[in-house]
Amino acid sequence: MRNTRIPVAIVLCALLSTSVSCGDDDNGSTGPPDPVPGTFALTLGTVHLDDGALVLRLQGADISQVELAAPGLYLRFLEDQTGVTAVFVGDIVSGDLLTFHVPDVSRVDSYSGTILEAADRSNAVRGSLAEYTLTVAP
Amino acid sequence: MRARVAVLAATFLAAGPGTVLAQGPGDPTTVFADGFDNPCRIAVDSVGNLLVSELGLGEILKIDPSGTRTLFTDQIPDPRWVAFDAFGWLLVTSHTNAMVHRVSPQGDLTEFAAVDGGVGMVTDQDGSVWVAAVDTLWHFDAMGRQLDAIATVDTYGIAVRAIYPAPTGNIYLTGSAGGLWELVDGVPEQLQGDLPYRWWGLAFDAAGNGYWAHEAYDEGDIDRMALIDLDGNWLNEEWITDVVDPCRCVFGRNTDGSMNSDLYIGQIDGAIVKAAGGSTLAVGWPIVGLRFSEIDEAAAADEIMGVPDLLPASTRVFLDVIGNNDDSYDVGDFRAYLIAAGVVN
Repeated sequence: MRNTRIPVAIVLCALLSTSVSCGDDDNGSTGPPDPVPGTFALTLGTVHLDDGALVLRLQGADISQVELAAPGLYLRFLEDQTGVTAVFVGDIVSGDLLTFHVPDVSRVDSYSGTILEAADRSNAVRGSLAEYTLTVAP
Repeated sequence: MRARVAVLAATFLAAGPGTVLAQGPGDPTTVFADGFDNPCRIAVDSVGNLLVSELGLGEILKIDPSGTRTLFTDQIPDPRWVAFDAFGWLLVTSHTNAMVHRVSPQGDLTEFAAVDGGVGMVTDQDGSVWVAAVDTLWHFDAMGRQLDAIATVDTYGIAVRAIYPAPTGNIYLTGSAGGLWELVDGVPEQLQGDLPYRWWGLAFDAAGNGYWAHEAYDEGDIDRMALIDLDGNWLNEEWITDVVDPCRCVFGRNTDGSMNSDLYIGQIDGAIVKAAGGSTLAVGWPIVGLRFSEIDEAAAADEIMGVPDLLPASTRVFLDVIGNNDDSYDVGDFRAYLIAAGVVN
């Protein structure tokens, strides 16, 4: 989108022939704001008191610097172009699981998490994943 | 070269036509360690040590690759067969206790499964454990839960005395009346029969050659190691003749856990000898125990996250068995694996 706006601005500037300088992005009056990079947290909500392992998918573009936010848990993750898949093992409770870096914190709504598989501390796999939530927030 | 080899050579030179004792490809043997009471039950650990169950002394000895021996445990009454399980712990059958015990590398003792009269034992590729108890062939999963019990005497007329893994993925049985069987889908299929009594230990190499110990019993018979193929056919009936009452053979491991070509032969006379260096046709077929230490943790994790076919199918089965045993490899199984590996508590 930005690439298509620049020529239009140049053309308008030439046609109006005003004394106002054109193409000055620093005055904040034109175009979207520059993206602001930052860190989000992926937070787990669970009603269970005996979660022992989770596999989840974090969906979103340009995720980097994935770090464990829950001390004591085992974490291994795989990154690809559309997100991160991660496995956690340990005594898992509600709270932040991961932090990760994004290039534009204004796009928080474009990141989401999904639980793929869960097991309790006796290694039994959960039959339902409906009682888990994952939220992404700055 | 030992004195026995010299005697054998003298016998060979003195013998007339028709009484030749030929030197086989595995001759001459060399003594690795001796002075044992009855070194006919031997297992090899992950760094190449031999664990020898001393029948009659109630001891399990550890023999390092240099031949130095130390006491591993003397806490198991009447220990018989020894085999490493998939976790690297030593399984020992005890006649007195009618039990298969499990001994940690530190010597801690636990019970694996109750078996009366266990005489042979092997760990299968999926970590399950077979125990031969003469009239019954028991099958347990890696955690000691019973999977099957085959009444071999009542059903097939076979008194099973020993069990051996083979590259076919099946196990082989030796037993009554000098026979050899391959267990196919739980059913013994006879490969050899009506042999002279006392065909004992068998070990396969990775190419499927079987090295089979025979203690002479009948008049005119000779102590020897024979070579067979996977169908039980003779490849060389006198592959080694420089042995005395051979009862057991195992391939060695290197210190990194890989199998090597060293073939150790236990003899009833109290010695453990090695076949001539470089004479075996391939490295040993893995004594399938110790599988646990061979599992790639990253591969086990990545399969859980959807990357397909990183683990051998048998490893997935094994991990499921030590986990929730629900016929699929899942995150619960991966958790059990990490706990067993000491990665998480």
